[in-house]
Amino acid sequence: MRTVVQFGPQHPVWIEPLRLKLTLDGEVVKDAELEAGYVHRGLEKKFEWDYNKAAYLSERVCAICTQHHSTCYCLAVEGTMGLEVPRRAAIIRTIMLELERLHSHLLAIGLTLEAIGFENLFMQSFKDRELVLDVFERTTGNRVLHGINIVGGVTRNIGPEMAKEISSFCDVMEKRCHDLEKMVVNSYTIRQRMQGVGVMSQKMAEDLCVVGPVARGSNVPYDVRAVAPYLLYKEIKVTPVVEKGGDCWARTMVRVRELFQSIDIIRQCLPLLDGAPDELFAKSRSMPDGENFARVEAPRGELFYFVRGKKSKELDRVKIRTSTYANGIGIVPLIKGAQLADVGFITITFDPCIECFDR
Amino acid sequence: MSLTELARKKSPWVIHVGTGGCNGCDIELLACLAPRYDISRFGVMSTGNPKHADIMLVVGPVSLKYKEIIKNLYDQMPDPKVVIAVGTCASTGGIYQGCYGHCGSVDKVIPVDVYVPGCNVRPEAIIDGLVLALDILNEKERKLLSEKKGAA
Ligand code: SF4
Repeated sequence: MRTVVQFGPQHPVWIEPLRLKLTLDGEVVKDAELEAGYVHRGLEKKFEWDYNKAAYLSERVCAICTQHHSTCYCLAVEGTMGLEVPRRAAIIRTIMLELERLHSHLLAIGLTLEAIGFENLFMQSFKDRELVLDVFERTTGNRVLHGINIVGGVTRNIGPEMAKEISSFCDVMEKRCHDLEKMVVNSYTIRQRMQGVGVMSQKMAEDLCVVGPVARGSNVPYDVRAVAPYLLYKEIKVTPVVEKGGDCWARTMVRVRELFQSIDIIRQCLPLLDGAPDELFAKSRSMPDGENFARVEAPRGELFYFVRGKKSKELDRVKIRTSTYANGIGIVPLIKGAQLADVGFITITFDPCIECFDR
Repeated sequence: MSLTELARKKSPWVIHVGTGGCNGCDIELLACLAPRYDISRFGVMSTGNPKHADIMLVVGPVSLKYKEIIKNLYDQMPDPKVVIAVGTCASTGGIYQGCYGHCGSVDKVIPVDVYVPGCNVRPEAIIDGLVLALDILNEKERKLLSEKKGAA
């Protein structure tokens, strides 16, 4: 007998509204339909505003990857004006980007573990995440939204003392991440629960053009930091972290291994701060003119901003293509044929961010 | 203090509704549940079912598509109930003022008792708001009881 179950929009598994209409045959999902748009606020329209203030607006697209959103927006606008950010600003932006990846991945790992009932490990990874938020608070004055990026540079400096603090934070964090990794990798239960669930083959990943950890978990070595370097990634070489499995386990392992990669990048950036001149901000002589786009590797994958200026303070058009939007298409084929109990779990390993999805 | 009042004060159940903010306040709410702030040590319990909840925490301006749903959720909650608007955009519309996709603050859709401003709010502020809400909850309960007595 076929039953239709409405999964969402208000559902305990998700903190954000998303609706899945599932057609069930017993416990097995036969058909799934995804409906989004519950949190569509119409942000892209609002971007036709003062281009300098819109950097703050772009942070409010999604708070889990704020720094990536505002950096990408700033890179796109700077491109239309032919502006080069000072070296120190580029270093600070890179450090903040990697810190943000740390906190986002810890959040995603924690929520994944919670979805299969490991409350304790969820608490553990959230406890580690608080350390990252402390660093954010000490450098920018805010825990989640930073407000540090503006077109042309950054507003706050990282002095030598703060640099020392960040480097000792890296040591502590690395140890904590090793502990977390050990607990996840050595646990027989987690392995059994995750392996072979929600498998996305390499071909499917390439066909659907998914990005980020979802693609890299399916053996597609696509990372914007490697294929189209921006900011400091031109100097610091990044090798994409790849896993072969394509299942929930592989996606989680990509995130766990990327934690160490991020710590490594921060460590490489910190000594560069010493030699850089104390210049944080380059003033532009022209207004945004013409079209430009920028890409960055957000924690969830490639993030894309298109900007068109019209030689005035207001922008003509801003188009955002977020990483979750690219990945969303992959959710439905994985859910089809899965058990009902796995539906929430599979979607969580995609690290869905509905605020990005709908904007 | 009656037994129900005492019980409610010691263990309020909250439901968390995200209606289209930027997630900033959402994850601070999650941080409240995590070890550092740990509101569950005060007995606060997060539930997914509106029929069990005493307090509704709303994050974000209410998007047009979510308007009906949040009204539904509110109606399903048993009396007495309290609504807390968490974050600037839930209280006033915040940075999203002027966007076409939402209807502004939460109080345009359902009555709000406590406002917790801040973009993003700090977990301490959310806890403060919860404490404030408990008193309002008990006040409402007393009012309900006296109305019942008056009717009888
Ligand atoms: S108040 Fe600010 S941080 Fe909170 S959800 Fe709204 S925009 Fe995001």
